[in-house]
Amino acid sequence: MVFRKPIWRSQIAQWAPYVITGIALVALTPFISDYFKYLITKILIYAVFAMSHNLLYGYSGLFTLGHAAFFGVGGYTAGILIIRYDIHSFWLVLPASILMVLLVAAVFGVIALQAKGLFFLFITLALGQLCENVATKWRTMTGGSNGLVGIPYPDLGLPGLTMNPSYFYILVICVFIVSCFLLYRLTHSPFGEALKGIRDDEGRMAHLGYNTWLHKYLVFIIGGMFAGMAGVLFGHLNGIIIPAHLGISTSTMAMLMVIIGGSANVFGPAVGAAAVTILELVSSIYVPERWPLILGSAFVFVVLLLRGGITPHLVRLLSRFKVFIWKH
Amino acid sequence: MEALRIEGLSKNFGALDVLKDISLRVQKGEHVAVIGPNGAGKTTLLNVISGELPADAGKMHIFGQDITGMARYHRVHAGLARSFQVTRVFGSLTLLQNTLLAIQGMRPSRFQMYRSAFAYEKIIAKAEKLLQLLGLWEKKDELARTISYGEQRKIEIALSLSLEPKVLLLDEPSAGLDLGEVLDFIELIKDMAREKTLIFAAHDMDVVFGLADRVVVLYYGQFIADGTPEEIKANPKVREIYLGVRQK
Amino acid sequence: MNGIAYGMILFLIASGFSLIFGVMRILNLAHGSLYMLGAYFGLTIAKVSNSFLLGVLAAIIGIGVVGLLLQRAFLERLYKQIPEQVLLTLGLVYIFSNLALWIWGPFAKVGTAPGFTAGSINLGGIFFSVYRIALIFVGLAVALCLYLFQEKTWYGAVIRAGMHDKEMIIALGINYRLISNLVFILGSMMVGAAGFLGSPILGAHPWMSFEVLLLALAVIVIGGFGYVQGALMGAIVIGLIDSFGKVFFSDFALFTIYLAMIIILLIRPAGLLGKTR
Repeated sequence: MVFRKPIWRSQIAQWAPYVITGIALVALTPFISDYFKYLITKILIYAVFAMSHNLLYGYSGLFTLGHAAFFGVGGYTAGILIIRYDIHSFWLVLPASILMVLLVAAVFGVIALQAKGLFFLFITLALGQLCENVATKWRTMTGGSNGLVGIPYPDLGLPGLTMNPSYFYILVICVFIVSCFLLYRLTHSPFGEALKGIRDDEGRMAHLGYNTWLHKYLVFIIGGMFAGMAGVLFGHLNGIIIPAHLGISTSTMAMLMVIIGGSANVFGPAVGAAAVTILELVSSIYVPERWPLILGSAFVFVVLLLRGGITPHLVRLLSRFKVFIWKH
Repeated sequence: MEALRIEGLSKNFGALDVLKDISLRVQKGEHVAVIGPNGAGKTTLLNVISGELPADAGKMHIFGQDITGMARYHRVHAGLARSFQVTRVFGSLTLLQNTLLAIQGMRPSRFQMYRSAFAYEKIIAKAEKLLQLLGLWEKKDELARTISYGEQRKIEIALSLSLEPKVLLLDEPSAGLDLGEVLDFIELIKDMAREKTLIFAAHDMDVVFGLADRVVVLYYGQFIADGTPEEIKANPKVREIYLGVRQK
Repeated sequence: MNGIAYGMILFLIASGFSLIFGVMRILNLAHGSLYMLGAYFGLTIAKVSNSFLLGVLAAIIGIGVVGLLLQRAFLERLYKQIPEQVLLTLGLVYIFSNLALWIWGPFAKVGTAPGFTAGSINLGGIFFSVYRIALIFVGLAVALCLYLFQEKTWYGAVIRAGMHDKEMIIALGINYRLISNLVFILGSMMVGAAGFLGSPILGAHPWMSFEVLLLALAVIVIGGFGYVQGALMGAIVIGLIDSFGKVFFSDFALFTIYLAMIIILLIRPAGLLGKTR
């Protein structure tokens, strides 16, 4: 009765924003400097990482400080395959890395989800640190505390196409757009709705017939996989992966991006990623040594004053702007 | 085949025996009220049956299926649903979303990760019907935490009814409602639970006499009376408990 | 080697205790930062005044004040909001670390033991550092005081009750706010002192906040939170793991600690001596 809209219109409405954003970003390619491309690429990679974190935190109520473990495992696996095993094809490296992350997440999920709340937080934290520790000690595989150095751009195996900043930029845009699309679908699907229910009242969901553990386990793994994918791209971007990328400092970065950007919708963390990266850029120009201070203050500021992150405020500003335009 | 069969059920919290070796048989379609003074164990009984608390001894069967060791969600799939004394709805979700969650609870589509939750027309139609019945369809897009308590209570009951359970457990269904609302509420439940097996814990005698065709009295962990509402009203032991007057 | 074990234990004890008291439903991840600041304050004052004692006092008072400010300005508002507390205190960690870097520079500092505890004693063929032994006694003394406070005084009882049900305590007319402030100050003072007292052994550097925090977390997870006995037990366990770990597995001490933490969280989440809720 109420939900019949012309089908073609709703299909286009669904796809359009992604296509448009994608085209817009790609179209910028010849006009912006390599450095700018680097910046946007970095933002988009962090955005995927942060959005994956929000899948667990904002949508499912799973507060974890060990999410970077998946990010790092992704990056390390890719790096190890390329550097130690001489496997260069992107089409092998990416799936293999994601598979590795899936395995790790599957194991960690079983362990961590025995607990809830604070204890869950501690376990995920400990697991993340464990990974960081392993990476630091396993020098032969992981390069120890120096990390894996010299990760090249991904090799797409397309004839005549050598990867350079521009092509990598476009690749990341594609990955970002696809991730946004998939995450949006997931969070608006019945599974996604179930996650929200679990976040609000897990016990009630159990009494509605939901195997809440299973839902949490699945989202834990899925969120991990997206983070792992971001980690692979991150390794390619900077050419290096270090143990800290597995531990608490990187996990808190994701958390910060989610909080600053807003956890209420899929794209909030992406906004947060942009905000944090730009903030970092600005700080590195004027007061490079004070970056952690600024970062920490941003955290405190947002927690105390900007509940819900900046996205709701931005949205409000935008709609007021629209009204303004309408009137004039 | 009885709808619910409880045998030798016991539950204690440390030294405190809340349920002492109780047994109960409920036939299909019966509407049973469980009454008793505060602390008698009504909520604990419902908690044990629904799986919120594990039983220390005894067995429970729903239509012949042994649910004694089952996880909560599993019992739902066996045909059992419950509502809570203190309203538990999904505050940050809209009424429509709340209802959809409940209806989806028994369906495999709850694991679907790609299609939009709003694309399942049959499910939406069911939700619409239910919300219309409750008079809450106009508010379908409002967040559950913004509606009045009485309305939330309706949703609370609706959630458990959406599961189309074989046996429905209601814990103090009218708790928190004012006088006017209670009577309407009773009518609503009567309507919705018409052919179902209903077991509810209640304090409010209007609710008991309005809904029940059988009453069991739980007194400090044991059933001390079991009969029709009129029989129970006249039962001297029951009167003593409730009125504190020793009947000669 | 045992000397190291015991030495480590004490620091952990002190920090552990503090974290416990800090956990009156307040999760203060900046606790490690307080330790660091204690070390720095104390060292600065001690250097300037050439007095170990003044250093200790500076650490105690200084961090007590910082702790109070933190409580008043930030943490009080976030009662029962665990995620917000975690996030805010994480932010504080970054801020404090950077401030420390700014004020005291990037090079680690090491404290010196006061004259009368320098050197070592020969006990049965093994040399023990006097300072570490002194620390053991100090730690045990503090443990004893806290235990008595917790179990035998009215204040202790109120705090223990308050951990379970703050509203009830307030309803009973007790000024919980005052008490919680005091406890927080006490906890901060202890960790500040621990920082300074530990400086001859652990030193002080701007990035130690997370390390100390993780250790403290491990202590309370293993030992159980809220009660003094738990922290003591946890600290001893960690100290032993750490030193034996160093001996037998050289590099894997930290790994073992995390592993132990995870195992305990799975088997007995309330910790070895914690009370199950």
